[in-house]
This record gives sequence, structure tokens and C-alpha cells, in this order.
Amino acid sequence: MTAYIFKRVLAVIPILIFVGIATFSLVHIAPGDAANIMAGDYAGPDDVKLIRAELGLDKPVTTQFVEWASRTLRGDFGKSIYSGRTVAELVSQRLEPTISLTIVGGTLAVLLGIPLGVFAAWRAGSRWDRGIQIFAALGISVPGFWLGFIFILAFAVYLRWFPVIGYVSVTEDFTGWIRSITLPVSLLAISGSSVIIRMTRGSILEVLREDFIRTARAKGLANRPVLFRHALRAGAIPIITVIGTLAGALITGVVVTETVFTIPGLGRLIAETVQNRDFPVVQSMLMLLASFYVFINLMVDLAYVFFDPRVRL
Amino acid sequence: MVFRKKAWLLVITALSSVTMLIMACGGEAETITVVETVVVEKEVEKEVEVVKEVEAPQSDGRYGGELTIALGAAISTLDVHRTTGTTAYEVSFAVQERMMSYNSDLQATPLLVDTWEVSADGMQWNFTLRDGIKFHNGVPFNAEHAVKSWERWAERDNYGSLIFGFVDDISVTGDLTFSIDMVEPTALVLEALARIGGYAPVMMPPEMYDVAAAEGADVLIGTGPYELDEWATGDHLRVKRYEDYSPADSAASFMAGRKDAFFDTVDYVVIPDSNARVAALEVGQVDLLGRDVPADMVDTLTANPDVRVAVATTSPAREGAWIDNIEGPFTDARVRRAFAMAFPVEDALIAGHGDSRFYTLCPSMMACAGKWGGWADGSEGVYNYHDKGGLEAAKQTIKDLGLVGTDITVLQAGDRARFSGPAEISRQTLEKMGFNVIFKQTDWATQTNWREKPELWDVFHTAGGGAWAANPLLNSSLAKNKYWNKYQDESGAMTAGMEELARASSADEQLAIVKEMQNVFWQDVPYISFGDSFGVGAVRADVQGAQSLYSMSWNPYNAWRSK
Amino acid sequence: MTTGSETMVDIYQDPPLKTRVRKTFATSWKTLKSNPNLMIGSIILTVMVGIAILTLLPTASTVARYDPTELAVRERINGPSADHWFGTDKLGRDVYSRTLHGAKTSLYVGIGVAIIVTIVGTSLGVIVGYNRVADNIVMRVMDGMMSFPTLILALALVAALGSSLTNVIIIIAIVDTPSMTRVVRAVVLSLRERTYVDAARASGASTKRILFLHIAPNTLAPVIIQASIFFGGAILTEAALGFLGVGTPEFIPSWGNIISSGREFIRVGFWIAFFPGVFLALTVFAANIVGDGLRDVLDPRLRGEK
Repeated sequence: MTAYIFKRVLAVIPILIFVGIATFSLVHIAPGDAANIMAGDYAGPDDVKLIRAELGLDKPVTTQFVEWASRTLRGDFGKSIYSGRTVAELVSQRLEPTISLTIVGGTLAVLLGIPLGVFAAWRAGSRWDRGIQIFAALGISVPGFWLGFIFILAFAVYLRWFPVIGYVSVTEDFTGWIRSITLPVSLLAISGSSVIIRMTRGSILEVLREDFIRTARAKGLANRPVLFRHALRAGAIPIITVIGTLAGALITGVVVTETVFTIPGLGRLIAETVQNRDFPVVQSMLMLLASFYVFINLMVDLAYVFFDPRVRL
Repeated sequence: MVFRKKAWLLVITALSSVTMLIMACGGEAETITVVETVVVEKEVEKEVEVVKEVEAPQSDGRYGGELTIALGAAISTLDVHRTTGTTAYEVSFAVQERMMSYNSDLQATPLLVDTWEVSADGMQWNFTLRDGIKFHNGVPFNAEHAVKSWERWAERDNYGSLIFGFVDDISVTGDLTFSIDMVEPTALVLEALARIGGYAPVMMPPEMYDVAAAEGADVLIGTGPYELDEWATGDHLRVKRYEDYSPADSAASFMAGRKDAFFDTVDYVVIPDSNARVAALEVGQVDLLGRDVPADMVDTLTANPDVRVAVATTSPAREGAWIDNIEGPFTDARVRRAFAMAFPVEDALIAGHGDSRFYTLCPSMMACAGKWGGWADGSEGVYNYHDKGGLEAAKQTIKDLGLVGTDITVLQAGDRARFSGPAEISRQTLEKMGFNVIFKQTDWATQTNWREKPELWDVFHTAGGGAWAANPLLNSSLAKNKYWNKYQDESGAMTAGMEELARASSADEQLAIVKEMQNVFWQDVPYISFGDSFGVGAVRADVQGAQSLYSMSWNPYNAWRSK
Repeated sequence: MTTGSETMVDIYQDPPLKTRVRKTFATSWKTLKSNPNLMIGSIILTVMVGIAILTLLPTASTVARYDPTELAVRERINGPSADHWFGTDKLGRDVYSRTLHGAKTSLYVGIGVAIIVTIVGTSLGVIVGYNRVADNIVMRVMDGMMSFPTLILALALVAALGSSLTNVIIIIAIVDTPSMTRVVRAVVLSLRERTYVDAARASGASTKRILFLHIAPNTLAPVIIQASIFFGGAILTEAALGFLGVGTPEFIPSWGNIISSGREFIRVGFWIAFFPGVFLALTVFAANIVGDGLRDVLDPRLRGEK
């Protein structure tokens, strides 16, 4: 077990190297550079050339790669081409809103999604099941920006219960914090729980048909213990996989959510720096997200071992 | 309702435009004859170019509070000499000042300058700066700062290179005095000190001007009524009242005269989503949307009694399709002209700007709201403002030239709604003309890179704003081999016109030269010109004294919230 | 399952695939009749496919009433009316016509991605679930790919390959494959220790045989669910690419790009995003319940239950 964990943790290193190189190449394959955006819409070729030279963007890609790699290995993640702020500064400025949204939104998604999914499977074919399925289908098919704006119109513009824009720090004003994250968190929870419901329902349905459950039921165990003791445990594996995927979905989700609700988090930082081709920030952000993602999935893999003793190591 | 009134009549013209104020060089307002007028009854709020002057002394009740201004895009840099982007400019408006500034009649009047004189032959200018002005970091403002800042600006701005063509030498003659020796006299000096549009000739301390403009200073220090408080990049920037501000003693007027920082702080908040921006104004979370209110949302806002809407008719932007003059079929002026003949300009204006409150057809080379536009000379049959068989003629030209089925590449920036609609119209027009259109949809950042490489495109869509649209000398799309269209001016007529214009001494002479240049414009068609569009701004009704003139930002100073 | 009337199946034996498929299809009509969800879902999907086919035929103009790219800027953002049933968009194009024509593009994207992802993802998933060496290599690459935010990976790939309908499909498929692989792998990991696999192994079956006869068919259920998610997800991702300006160009209407072009006009022209949105949601929902229904039909362990 310990050896397995050690091995899995070591395996993270090549992933990060792969991600680093892939990031650099992807960012440089994508056309467009910061010089043009920096110079502004009305700038001409001379302005752009000047700025490009100043930023070192006219150097050969190989030179840029060597410079970037050696900087990154020394732990220097560079600074924004635009504001001159270091990536660490930018990220620390933007961290809190995103953590609030993803943790609250993700937790709600799980708390809502798993029970509803299990319930739907348990009552498969019933009206409840159909209702839950319709909710889940809508949850994944309605675009976030659309639902988000309906929320703004209904609850922020007409009813005025919540603010239209902005984020209030939890340390500053707790009720203000709740008010500022309610709408965006609902959006994340709806789309997140829809994915979880679909997956949970499928997995539990699957497990309920398994031999050992049938055996358990045949042996006369009441329905409830069968569900909780056996079905949930066996169905946990695909569900955990989905929670791993959810982490990724939340990362993408916050980009849209933070933009629609004007919340200064990492999602908007990514969207903005990609649009502006602020390469140093984009590269470091991608590395950061990748590390986070790899970590979550490491946890998921370890959870397999915990929940399914059949995975022998 | 200090500076706005309701106008029930909106005058649109089929050929030319309504009477308007001018901007940029010159200074006198001018009336332009309307060629063919259609009157449409419509309820609009029109900007009135009268500024109520604000007297400071009895204004104690006005102090306090916070003004929140929404920006559609992040502030990319604090250094206005680094970018032509408008968000940096917006903030600079509150924080930095010019030596001379325009008043509401567009006359350059002294702001940081105390007195100035010019020799009888126009060959030497002497300036004395106002005493007692301090930068936000406490350093007293002196002549060396003034000259260095102005020179830094001149290196970047095309107005700067224009004026420096006339300048022989600038010398600091004392702590607060400097003089400019000329090679040749010109009336442009004061305008160059007050310049709006393009890069801003604002005064900076050494911490800023010692950094190369292209690299960009990462501090923001000026002499203005507000100083930088905090900058959370990409989210908001806050400025606070500068307590040691030394105001001019003349009456407040546009950018000139006395400035009072009534609001304690001014917050610039970035709201990228246009729906959220409008909603935030409706509920009062922001007080002001500068100039990017989507035209389609104007009626929603007009219906809201808490909000005032303003259409910036005084300073239009020029909408158009830019075409590749140095590679592909458009190297031939006949093909460029055929494209113009076939292109339904009004469709493109409607597609980008909703309805006729927000654009005007303009068959001139320069914006019809400026003093160098407003007549139709040379445009007959080329400017396709209403289908007059231009498409058929264009088709024939393409057939005669044997270009049917030739590849032509149109770029569309899918993330810029204002330009993506017109790009679709270009695609359909060129297809109807007989070309084989290759349509490349990308994002704006990619398009800006592709347009650098002539082999990658033939047509892209953008707009030129402010002085660019109004003044031929500043319009880089008309200059030989400049801007992305790289106009070649084979006959040399346009370049010759520019040189004459810079030296012309009377308004009549200038007018004649520009008319001649316009004939060349419609003959050569360096780019396809659709007409003029107007930005739309909106402000909460309880904010008094804020105005937006000549496409400039709304003034955060001299504005207050009525109780 | 709710009735609790299912009978016990004795010691489980995996029958040959062929027999199972034949039997399955023989019973499928019966199942369809007994499963209203599957019935409704199939009807919706059939209608959508029907619409797509109609717009491909020369009769398209009678069904769609307008050319989906025909501009009428003076009639832009007009609400639904007798002339324009679903209203008009920002360039005065008929939203009804665009929605109908959009069906073929969106179904093409959805089906294309679902098929590619299913084939590639399942093959990889089964292989890595069974082979430690392959697992270590392939899954690390997949982890790397998954660790990029979807849209950014797609943006860079579109930039590298260029934006066209086919490329959009390929790119979304590339982006989605890792998560399919992951799900299949998880199932395989738990399956390969099952008694019947052990039994097969003990009876001397080759690895290949075990993989394709015993393990692959059992991944069917989760794969179908995932494929139905990817089917809808692909249609939505295509829309998201449109926000970044790199999706299918608007002159090839798709539900995704009509919806994303309606983004700015939600307040003043809700119909632009609403009607194609309803079609999209209906289709995704139908795919969803058909996926669930199909699992019931194809699941070997359900044999003889109904």
C-alpha cells in the first residue's frame, strides 16, 4: 500500500514535466501575442514591433523555451506582461473567491447529486426518477451563461436579493459573502450535481443488479441495509471517478461563472490572460491547475483502493 | 439634467450628416450643409455640447461618497504611452494632466502652463509653468519634467512625429520655463500640448518617463485631482482624492480650468460581460458606463428613470472593412473600388450598431461630424449607401478582369460582435461578386496577429476612432504603407495632399486640399469606409456634473452625487 | 427494479457475444414497448434526425421557409411572428430556419464525437485496465491532457489545426477521450477480478479473448451513459468554442453557435438563444434517457428478467 502510494506520487513528476512542455508548446502554437493586444486597437505596425521587441516576443521560440524552462526550474514563475505583477501576487489576489466558489459549489453538488442519484436508482422508473432525470438532463444541457443571466435578472435586478456583480471577502463581512456567492454557487451546484446524479444513478442501478446484492436480498436482508451497506460501497468507484472529473468541470465552470457574475477569481484570470495572450501568467496558471488536477486524481486513485478491495495492488 | 436635454427629433441624412462640432486641430465650430435630409421622429437623448460650469466655493455639500465606473475590459497598463487602448486612458483622465487642455469649445487653454508667448515670426515659443504644482509623490513639477514627458509622448504619437517635424530644439531655460525653437512656423504647437485621442501628452515624474514607453512604467503618478490608491489588476482600480492638488483658477470647462475632487474615491470596476454591466447600472452597483453600452440595450436603459443615456454624437468612430493593398486581388485599385461599389454600407452599420440613432451614413473620407468631412465629392457610384446597381457593376468588373473564382480571405473576429456581423456581410458580398471566399473565424487576439501578415488575409473589420476619423493627418490608413492595409498611393497624390495640408495656413486652403484628397480616396479606395458610429454611455441620474465630450472619458472630478 | 419481482440468476456464465446480441435485438421491440422513457427518447431523436435529413434534401426551403444565411439587417432582433416563427437574430436571419438547419450540424458534432470517443476511449480503457505497463504510460498522458482546462486545450488545438466543422469534431473528441478512458478503466479494474473472468482465465482463455469476450461487453453500460453525456457535451462545447470565437463559423448554423450568438441579446432578444436551446436540451435529454434505456436492453445481467 505504502509502496503503491509512493509510486503514484513519484509518477506525478513526469506528468508535470509533460504538462510543462505541452503548456509551452500549446501557448506558442496559439496565434496572437501580447504585443498586439498591448498596443491597442488603433496601433499600427510600428507600435507593435516596438512593444514586441521590448517584451522579447520576437526572439526564436527555442530561446524563449530555454529562458522559460530555466526560470521555472529556479522557481521563478515570471510576471504579467501587462501589469508587471508576479504570478504569485496575481494568484494570491484571486485565490479566495475561487476557493469559496469551488468548495461550496462542489460540496453542494455532491450533497445534492449523490442522494438524488441514489434515490432515482432505488426508485428507477418512478415519477420521482423521471423528475430527477429531467432535472439532471436540463442541468447539463442549459448553457451556464444563459441560466446565470436569468438568475441575475430574476434575483438581482427584479427582486434585488443579491448583488449583480462582485465578491465580498468572507473575512470582511460574512453575510455579504453569503449574498455575493449565492447565485454563482447555485449555478455551479446545478451543473455539478447534474453530472453526479447521472453517474450515481447509473452506477447504483448497475450495482443493484449485481450477484452479491441479489444474493443479499435473496438472503432476506431488508432493502435499506442492502442499499447502504453493499450497493453504495460497490457503486462508489465510478462515483469517485466522477468526483475527480467534477474537479475538472468546476475549473471550467468557474471561468463562465466568474465572468457572468463578475467575480475576481482564478477562472476570470485564466480567461482574461488567454484572451490577452499574457503568456507567463497563462503558463504558470496552467501548471498550477494541472498540479491541482493531478493531485485530485491521485486522491481518486487511492480512493479506489479504499473502496474496492478487489483492486489488488 | 445639467447638460442633456431630450430631443424628439432625430435628423438622419441619406448623404451627409447633421451639424456637429469638430474635434482636433483648429478650434472653431463649423456648420456643414446638409445635402439630403430625412427627418425621422424618434425619442432619443442627445448630448448637448454645453457645459454647465461648476463653481467650487459653495459646493461643500457636494463632497464625499464614492463613484463607481464600469469598464468593459481590464486596464492593461498604467502607462498611457504604452497603449492606444482606452481603459488606461480612462484612469489617466482622473490622475494625470496635460500642460494645455481643451475647454468645451475645443480651445487649448493653459492648465499646468501659467503663461506662454510666441515670437512674431512664429519661430520661438516660450512657456512658463504654474508654480506650486506637486506630483502625487510630493516632487514639485518643473520644466524638465514637462519637456521629458512631452518628448516621450512625441516618440509614440503620430501627432508627435508631425509636430516634431517642425521643431528644431527644445530647451529648459529655468526651473519653470522652457522654450521651443521652430524650423518652420506652425499653428499646431498648442494643440500638440493639449492633444486628445491617440496617446495622451500627460505630465509624468522621472519614475515614469525614464522607463521606455514600450516597456511601460508600473507606477501611476500625476498632478491631477485624484491619486492612485490601489490596483487589483483585472478587477478594479481605485483612486482617491489628492489633498495637495493645486487647481487652476479659471472656471471649469471640459478638461480645462478648476477641478474639484468631490468624490472621496473613484472606483474603476472591470465587468467583461455586457449584460452584467447594464444590470449593475440598473440596480445602482455602478454609477457610470463609459461608452460601451450595447446599442440594443439603450431602450431598456432609457425606460429606467434612475439612468440617463448619452449618445456621443460629437466624436464618431469610422467603421470599415480594411483590405490588403499589397497582396492578392486588392492590389488592383479597380478591384478595391468594385468591392466598395458592391458593399451595402448601411447594412453593415445596422449590423454593428442597431439603428440609425447610433450611426450615420457618411460619404466623406473623414468623419462627417468633423470639419474635414460632410460632403460627397468623388463618392458617386462608389459609396454604396443604397443599392444603385453597384453590385452588378462590380460583378462585371470582376468578370472583365478575369478574377471570377479567385480566392479571397475574409477574417472574422467571433468575439467582437461589432465587427463580426459586418464580416459576414463582406463574405456574402464578395461571394456575390464572383470570388471564392475563404472565411476564417478566429478570436480577436489571433486576428490582430494574422493581419500583420498580408499573405494570411484580404479583408478584416475594425474601426478607427476620435481624431483618427476626423483628421486626415492622423489617419494612418491613408498614409503610404502604414497601418495594416498598407496603402501604396501609387500616384503619390494622397501623400502630397498630406504634406500640403500640414503647411496650409488658412481654413479655406485646408478645405480645398482635403476635398482634393477625398477624390483620390474614392479613386484609390485604401479601405472600405461605411460611415460613422457613435458610442453610447449611461450614468445614474443622481450623479451630477459628469459629462463625456468628444469621445473622451466621463470626468470623475467636478462630479458629485445629489442627495 | 421497483417491483422487487426479479428472479435469481444461478451461477453466472458469460454466453458468447453473438448469441447475446441476437437475443437482445429479438427482445428489443418488446423492451421498447415496455419502457416509456426509451420510447419517448427514441421518438425525439428520430424527429431530430428527421429534421436534419429534411434540411439536407432539396426540399429544405419548404420546411425551413428561409435560407438560414439570408440577411435582412433591417429586421434584426424581431420577436416571434407569423413571418418568423422563432424571431430573427442580430443580422435579421430567421431563427426558425437556422434552428432546423442547425440540427444537422449539431447532430453531426454530437454523433461524431460520441462515436470517436467511444471507440478510442473504450479500446484504450480496456487495454490500460488490463495491462499495467500500458496503464502507467497511457494514463499519465491522459492525466496530463485532462489537467488542461477543456476550453484552453481546445482553443490551442483549433488554433493549430484551424477552425472547421471536421476539426471542431476531432478536437472535442481529443479533449473528451481521456475521461472516457478513465471511466472504462475504472470499470475494467473492478471487473477483471470477477469470478467469471477468473474462471475464464483458469480455463485457459487467452488475454485477448478475455478482454474482448468477457470484459469489453461488460463496460457497455457505463460507456453508453458516458457516450450520451459526450453527445450532449460535444454540442455544448462547440457552443463554448463559439464564445472564444473559434467554433463552427456562423454561416454554418449549429444550435451551439446560434445560442452563443444570442448571448449578448438575452435581455432584448431571448428567442435567439431560447428556441435552439429548447431543441438542444430536448435532444440531450432524449439521448440521456435513451442511453439509460439502452443499458437496460443491452445489459447481459438483465436477460430473462422482463
